[in-house]
Amino acid sequence: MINIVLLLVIFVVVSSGIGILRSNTKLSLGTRKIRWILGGYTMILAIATVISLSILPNHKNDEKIATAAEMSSIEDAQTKAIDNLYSGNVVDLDKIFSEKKKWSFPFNEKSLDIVLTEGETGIMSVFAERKSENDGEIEATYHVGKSYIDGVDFTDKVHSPELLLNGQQLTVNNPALVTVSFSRFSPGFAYSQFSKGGHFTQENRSSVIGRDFILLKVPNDIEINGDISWINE
Amino acid sequence: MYLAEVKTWDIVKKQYRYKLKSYFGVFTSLIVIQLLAILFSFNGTGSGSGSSNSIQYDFYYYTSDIILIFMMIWAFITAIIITTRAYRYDDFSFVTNRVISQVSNILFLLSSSIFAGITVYLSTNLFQILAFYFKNNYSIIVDSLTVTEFIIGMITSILYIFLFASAGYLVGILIQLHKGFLLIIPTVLFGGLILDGIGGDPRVFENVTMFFGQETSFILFICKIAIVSSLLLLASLGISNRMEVRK
Repeated sequence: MINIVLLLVIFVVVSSGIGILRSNTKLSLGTRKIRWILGGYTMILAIATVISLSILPNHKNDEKIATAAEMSSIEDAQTKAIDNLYSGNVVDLDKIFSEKKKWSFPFNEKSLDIVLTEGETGIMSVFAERKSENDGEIEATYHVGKSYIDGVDFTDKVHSPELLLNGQQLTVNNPALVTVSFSRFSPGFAYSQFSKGGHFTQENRSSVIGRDFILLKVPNDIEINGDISWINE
Repeated sequence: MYLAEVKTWDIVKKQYRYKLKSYFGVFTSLIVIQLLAILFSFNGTGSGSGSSNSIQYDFYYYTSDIILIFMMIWAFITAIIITTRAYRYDDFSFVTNRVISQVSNILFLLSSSIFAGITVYLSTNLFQILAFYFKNNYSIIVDSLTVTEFIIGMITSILYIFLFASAGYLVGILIQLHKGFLLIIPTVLFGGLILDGIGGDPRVFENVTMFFGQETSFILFICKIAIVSSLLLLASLGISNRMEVRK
């Protein structure tokens, strides 16, 4: 529909343009009338600007907008950290991932069955690491990497999974899917060309969804059954 | 020795003032085109969506991009219009020559570009406030501007509009030189774009856009616009000097 209107507008503009080019007379509504129209329009714009500048700043985004390069670097760091995790390297984990939720379960059984339930968000990645002693406690931490949508940090919006211990069975319910919808009011490419990399390069228009996983720390002599990845084993 | 000694700059100023009043009508088309641009911007000037394991997202952009592009087109058309006979013959009310007439026209185009650049910012606020109240926004993120960003952005908008006005002025002068250009220019322009696109790897349009759009140094950007606009306007000046006084 909007395309038809656009075509119609272009047709009218082109036809009027040709008409003006061929004519010998100027098109005019009369200076006084035009002054009123222009003055009124400018006044409306000025009032709208005052309203806009007094209302919209309440929704101002105070966070720094991540650039495509920054987001790419964060995504690479997360992928590398996950790869390192598989090979038992947990050194820089805290720098790249944040601990969103922690659990602690007293556990004195000999073996633990881990059940990963598949929700609308798939199956959670679970890593397990043996403690140096048998302290009768399972510690679980939900790690989540930074999520950026169009350069804006939405990590806090991500829900945590649910962990339920029933006897010797630990059930991991995947977090519910988060739906994020937003409108972004930006000044436009002329205003961002020299400050934020510019619109022409589509600098900010990319997204990174952070990797997430659960890290279990289990008593030394416990046996685990389930689809998990061991660290250092 | 003359009874009345006239200075060139005084006549330019008089003609410029006269043209500001006489060509006032072009601003009505500015309002109409700006309102149309607001209408087209209302559905958002860009959008994105995607999903992953944990997040499903969609977002809409509300920017001044469409309004600015429409203003560039307006400036291009306005510049062509003021080269038409109906407007050009107004100059003969004054003691004038081609250069004075052209300089006053350029000053008028510069003033129009400044006005258009300012109203681009103001009308963006109008449509953003309309979108804020009348669109179903789930949540809003507003990218604010620092004073420096605001000033640079405003000057950039004005320069983009003036660049198009300069190009339009040259096109207008060419058409007035020979009506055949009315056919040749669109053919070369659109034909070139089509031929460029047929190869599957359009370069010309992209390179021209990137020459200005990818410039990250504001000073260099000003230089680029100043040089290209000056070349276009000097060419117009050169061509108009070859035209008959009044036909």
